[in-house]
Amino acid sequence: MGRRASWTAFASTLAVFGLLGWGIVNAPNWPDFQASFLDPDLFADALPDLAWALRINVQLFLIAEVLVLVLGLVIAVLRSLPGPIFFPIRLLAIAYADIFRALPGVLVIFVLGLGIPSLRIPGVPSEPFVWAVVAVTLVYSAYVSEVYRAGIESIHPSQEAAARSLGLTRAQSMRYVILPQAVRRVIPPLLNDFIGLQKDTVLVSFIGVAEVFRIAQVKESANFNFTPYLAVALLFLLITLPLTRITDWLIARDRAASSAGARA
Amino acid sequence: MTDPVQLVLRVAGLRKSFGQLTVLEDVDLEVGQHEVVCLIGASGSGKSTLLRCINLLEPIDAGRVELGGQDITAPGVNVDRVRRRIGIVFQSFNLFPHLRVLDNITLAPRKVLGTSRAEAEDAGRSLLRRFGLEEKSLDYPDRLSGGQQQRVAIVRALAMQPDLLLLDEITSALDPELVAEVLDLVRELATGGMTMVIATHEMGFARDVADRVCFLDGGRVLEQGPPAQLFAEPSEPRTRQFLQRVIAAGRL
Amino acid sequence: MARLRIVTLGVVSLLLVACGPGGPTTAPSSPASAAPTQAGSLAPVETAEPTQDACAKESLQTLTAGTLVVGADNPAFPPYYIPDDPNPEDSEWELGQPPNGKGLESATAYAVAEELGFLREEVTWVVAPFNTAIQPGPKTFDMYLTQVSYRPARAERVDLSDGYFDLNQAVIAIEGTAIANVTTVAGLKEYRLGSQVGTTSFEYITDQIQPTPEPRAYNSMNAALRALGNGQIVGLVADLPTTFYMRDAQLDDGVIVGSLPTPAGADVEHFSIVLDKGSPLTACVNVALAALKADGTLDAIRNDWIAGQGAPELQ
Repeated sequence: MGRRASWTAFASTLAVFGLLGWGIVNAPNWPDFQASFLDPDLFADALPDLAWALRINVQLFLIAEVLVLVLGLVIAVLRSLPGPIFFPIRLLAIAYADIFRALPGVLVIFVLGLGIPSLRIPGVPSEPFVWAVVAVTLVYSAYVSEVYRAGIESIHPSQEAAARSLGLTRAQSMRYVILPQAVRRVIPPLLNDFIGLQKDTVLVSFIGVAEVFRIAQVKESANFNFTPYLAVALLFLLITLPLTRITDWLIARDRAASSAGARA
Repeated sequence: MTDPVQLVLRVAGLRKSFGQLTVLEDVDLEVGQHEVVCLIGASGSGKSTLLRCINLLEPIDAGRVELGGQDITAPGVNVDRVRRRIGIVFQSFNLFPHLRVLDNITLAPRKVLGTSRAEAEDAGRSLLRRFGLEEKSLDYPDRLSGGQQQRVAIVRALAMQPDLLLLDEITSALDPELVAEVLDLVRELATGGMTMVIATHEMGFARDVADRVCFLDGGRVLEQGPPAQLFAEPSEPRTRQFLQRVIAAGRL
Repeated sequence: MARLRIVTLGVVSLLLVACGPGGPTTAPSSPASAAPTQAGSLAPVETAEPTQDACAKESLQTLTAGTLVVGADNPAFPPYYIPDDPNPEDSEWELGQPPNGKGLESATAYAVAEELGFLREEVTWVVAPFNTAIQPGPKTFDMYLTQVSYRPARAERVDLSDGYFDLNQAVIAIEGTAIANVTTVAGLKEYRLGSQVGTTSFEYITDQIQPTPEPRAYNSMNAALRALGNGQIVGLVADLPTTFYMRDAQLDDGVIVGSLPTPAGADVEHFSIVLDKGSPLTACVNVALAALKADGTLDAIRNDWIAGQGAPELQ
């Protein structure tokens, strides 16, 4: 921005946010609101415990996201297998995606996390965190497989025609020509789903995992103050904002390097 | 009549329909080694479809295609293996945008033929050098002009050392000033003895480079012969009609 | 770069305004609430004793004139609320049926209602989840009974009556597990315990027992019970009468490890009736409870519904 434009933007920002702030602070119930939601002492007190509990959410979404990216891709590829002999496989893949997109995530978490261990099948773990990973992975892979599928179908058929014409098998043309382009195209929606996954980790509180939302709930019910929830909100903002910025940067860099980056 | 043993390509009684529309009806074609055959005809006359049937991108409804004596349209044929021996270049280049030029060229030799990366890159570079494109080898396709991209597409097909090269209207999507560089490359290939079937609108080019020109009309090869003869004295009335229109458009 | 600075300026200024001084930092404003300084079943009310007239039925400002609305959680558990046999098909109550007057809390509610002058037909019941009933905010009931323990922090947000029942927390486990043999509170520290989030039961775990494995909090006692059955927790903490119900009716192989001692220096835990913050009924409810205690009704109710429940006392 030019110098003059910068100053105008600066002044305008100050005016808008200042006015907003003044309006909020002078609203009739502001003192009550501030006491209930923005108590600085409670905030400072809760933050370390919450940040510590957050590590569980972070572990959960890091592990689950890797699994989701892989499983989602597998489902998408299975869904695209051609020919009558693969019909049952395609059907299974479609059913999987339909079912797990239909079910509320918390339901899957609850049923898997509390239900399966109650069957006491030998060899099946009862640790809630494990089932949290499984449930989250199952649910999100369904969405991600659809994202991949959209990406694959967006690649012009002439690309596959060119690849097959060179003698590449279907699998090879998928692997070296279609998928690299498809995946690059769908990075923004994939990241969107990742952010959704990060937030949905709080649902595992339902099966007793002592993650950040649960801890906030314990603190909130002890003090009848919502400030811990605000702290949780801030923590999630801190985690997801950098991720969004990084993606934007990745996309811009890709465009600069022209088309998309990797070597075969 | 060309010696059957030397036939690279033989198409017999080929029939292809898309739903109700029959595009190719009883097409016969023979191409001997080192021969350059040009297919001419109006749009929709089936030139592209014929090429796509030859390299098995389209399944055929009747007839057969033989490559070097082998029936490649028989059931149970390994289509991927057959395609290694046939190269095709498309009107819209179809380079892989996510790969650099050199990688576009070496992908198939490495993954299909198992050539080592070093060997494939050497071969690729020397092909690029031969056609004056070596300095582009590490660029991405969208940095190249249309003519350059098409030439890279030809090199990509050549890298597999095919027995037969199919060119499907490869200059139709190019700006006029870029057409020449591509045609020059093809001329050089012809001189070098590459067996080719070329679908084209460029009549002047066809007259220069073809051993034989086939005129497709109504889904059949209506007339074929050496270019000098066909362009000067076509026997079929429809051929004459077509050529007259082409001359009137200033393209011959 | 300039853009980044401007955005930061905007966000920072908003935050500063939000967290800075803008009003009193502590909340509660209304004076006349029943928040006794000492805990215990009966404590002298701080506000002036209401006159008899103020507690006459006609003067009571209930939500709906002439009706007393009582709230409870669903499912309502024995021995506080008892199911019918069978439960009526159109009833919204899954387990215990508060309207039938059976169970410690149902009976107490009706006894208080009678003291206030309401006939049985003038008492209606509503479902209200435990977690939201004890939150500040407007209420769908005049009074609420679902094992809500008195806590000063709670008393700042809602009105809590004097106690109607003293209790201890207890630990329940599965037969044959190692924890079942524990005899001291300290002995519980090494085990994975759990309870419902936001309850004094869970608070007991975190504040008194302080076990080494992180305790697990669930959205409902039933979920916690399920986890106990799965082995995902090995000990569940709940009030003693509830653990009896769990052992006798809900678990096949449950065993009560023992009752937990009242923390040193603290008063015995008691259940209070919940009313809206600053409710005009609170003082009169306390008067009613005092009368019921004096004439032995509360004792009789306890004897009816919580009979002979002895358990080993953890040291």
